[in-house]
Amino acid sequence: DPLGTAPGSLDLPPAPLDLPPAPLEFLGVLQVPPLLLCPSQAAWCELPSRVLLVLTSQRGVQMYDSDGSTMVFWHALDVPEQPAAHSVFARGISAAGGRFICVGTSFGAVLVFDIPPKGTNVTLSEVLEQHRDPVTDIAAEQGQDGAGDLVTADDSGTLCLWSTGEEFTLLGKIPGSGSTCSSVTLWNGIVAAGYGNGQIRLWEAGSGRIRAQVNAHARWIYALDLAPLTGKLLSGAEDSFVHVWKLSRNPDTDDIEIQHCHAECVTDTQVCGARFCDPAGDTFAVTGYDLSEILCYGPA
Amino acid sequence: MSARTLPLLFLNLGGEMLYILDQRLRAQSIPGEKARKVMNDIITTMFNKKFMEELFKPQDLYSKKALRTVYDRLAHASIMRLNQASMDKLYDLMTMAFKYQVLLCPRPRDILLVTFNHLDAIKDFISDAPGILNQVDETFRRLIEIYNCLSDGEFQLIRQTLLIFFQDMHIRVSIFLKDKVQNSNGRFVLPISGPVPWGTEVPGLIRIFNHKGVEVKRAEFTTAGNYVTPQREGSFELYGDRVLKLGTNMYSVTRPVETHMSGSSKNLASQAKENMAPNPLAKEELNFLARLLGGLDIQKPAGGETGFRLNLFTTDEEEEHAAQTRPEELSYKVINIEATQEPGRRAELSRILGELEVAEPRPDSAEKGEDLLALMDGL
Repeated sequence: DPLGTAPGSLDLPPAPLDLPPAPLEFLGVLQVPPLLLCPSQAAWCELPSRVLLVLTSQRGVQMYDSDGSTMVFWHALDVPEQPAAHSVFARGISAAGGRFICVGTSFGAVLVFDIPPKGTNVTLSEVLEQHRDPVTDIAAEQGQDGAGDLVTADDSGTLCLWSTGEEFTLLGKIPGSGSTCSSVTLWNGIVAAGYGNGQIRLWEAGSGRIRAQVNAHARWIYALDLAPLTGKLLSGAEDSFVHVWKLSRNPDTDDIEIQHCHAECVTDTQVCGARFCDPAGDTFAVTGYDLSEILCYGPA
Repeated sequence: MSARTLPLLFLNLGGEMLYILDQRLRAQSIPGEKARKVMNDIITTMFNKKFMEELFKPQDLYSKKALRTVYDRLAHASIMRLNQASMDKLYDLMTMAFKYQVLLCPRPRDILLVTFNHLDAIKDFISDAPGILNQVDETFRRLIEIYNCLSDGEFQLIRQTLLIFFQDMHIRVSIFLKDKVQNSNGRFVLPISGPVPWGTEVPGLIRIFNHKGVEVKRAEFTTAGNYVTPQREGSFELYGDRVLKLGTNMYSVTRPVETHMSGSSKNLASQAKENMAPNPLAKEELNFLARLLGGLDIQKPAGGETGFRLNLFTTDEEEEHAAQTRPEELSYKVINIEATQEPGRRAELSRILGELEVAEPRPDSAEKGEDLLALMDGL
């Protein structure tokens, strides 16, 4: 199973928002062409019209039907003939703005692909060039007017806030403070970012101001995920801990709050992937380095 | 995958190899002068100028087999010989030790401190040979120049590349089991206490800011972790206290090490798969090996010198038993060069390999185990 061989990200099939969480279903094994040597990430991108499975690697971006049966699109990165000092890869995947899929690159550019409701006529509609360092992660949310509905992060910790549309507009840039931003999510105009130094920071998407700083983990944070129905935040790190947090807005002061809800120690496992399995964030799945299992946690 | 990974992999595995050889040379009471010659010869070969130039060029990592071949040559760069079982064990110990260090590295950047610990120790081995010392210092400076300025993200990529290389290797090592840093299933123990990495805060504090960015509230949370603030950062200079202990010498004469080859069935199966699957990189691998070995200057023992055999096991019986019981899937053996390769390339590699061929030293009684005794008698 080529997807199981890299300490990459863990992604689960999107659960339909209007249905109760269903047990995970085994979809089959994806046959990856030999050209694609080492997929670094895989994610299901949920657009209103269709769901695509997107893989990134050192060579480029591949998009498949949601069940992995048909390759819809392939975008090759400009890889030099001889290995260069700086690595070339695509990293960071997100659906955005109703009909786009955004993918980050090691050059710092974010590729915006326009996805037709059906068929294979995917086009590269725009390249966002604001990051000077390799992109680490991308997150989006639907229908947040003006406040920005897309956030991109990079190795230096810089975050860029965008408004999607026919043309993407840069709304603001939050400069990094030395630590890599390894993971980012967006919820109700709040940017939650996880860093290499174990911190989680919450930013106001509209103003770019910091609203909370949490000394969350003792090692590099590998994964953040957000449960859209409840504002629960999941963080997983190399310190073998997985934490569940709850974000909220105080209606009186408009302050953003974050509460610690649950801690799970996955003994002797460097967590490298963590995802909620349902939109309310009642269940989550975790995997780690050298682990061939995906561990699922839920209410007893 | 970072193209900057190979120098760190090679130097750290090489450092672990030297620790083990040093321990075995002393445990087997090899006379000081002979032991020094072995260490000096291997270190000279390892830090060969041309070889280092090739090594530091950006390039991908290749298979465990290809690298194993390089260490096979390196271990035989002097008058010492190791048989298959001892070489297998040596390589198992080297790789598991470095896997442990990569995994436990507090920050991705600390992989550099682990490397510096190895180089510091190598310099101690050859402190009486200024020529070789210069060679090692040259590599040291090259490391500092190229790596000190890399970003955390780049170091994390290097670390991930190393972790992928070591994935599914779960050989149990007695010294790790005794120290309770490895579990009986071959997985390493990850501590949830002790100092946090430099630049990281002890987990537990939440700070809330208002819309003007002014702190308005603090809250705490508790976890099972029991961390403390680190004292200071290790030195990334040519000399200095590295603070981090990972990568220092953990062997001593009184602490022999054993490996347990049983592994898990999954481990065996996955390794077997790697060995049997046709390698799409065979051609590139050949180029890589040819380039690397081309840079390796192997010194043939001069006419009068007598060689000896080093045993990684306590007794020859154990060594023989290990050779017979090692699962076929775990055997590294020698790289298969497929007949479909370009003839020119093959000839080039054969030429290089041929040049490296070193005649086995054959004392009068060449029976297993006796050569060393014979050698001792002759001193």
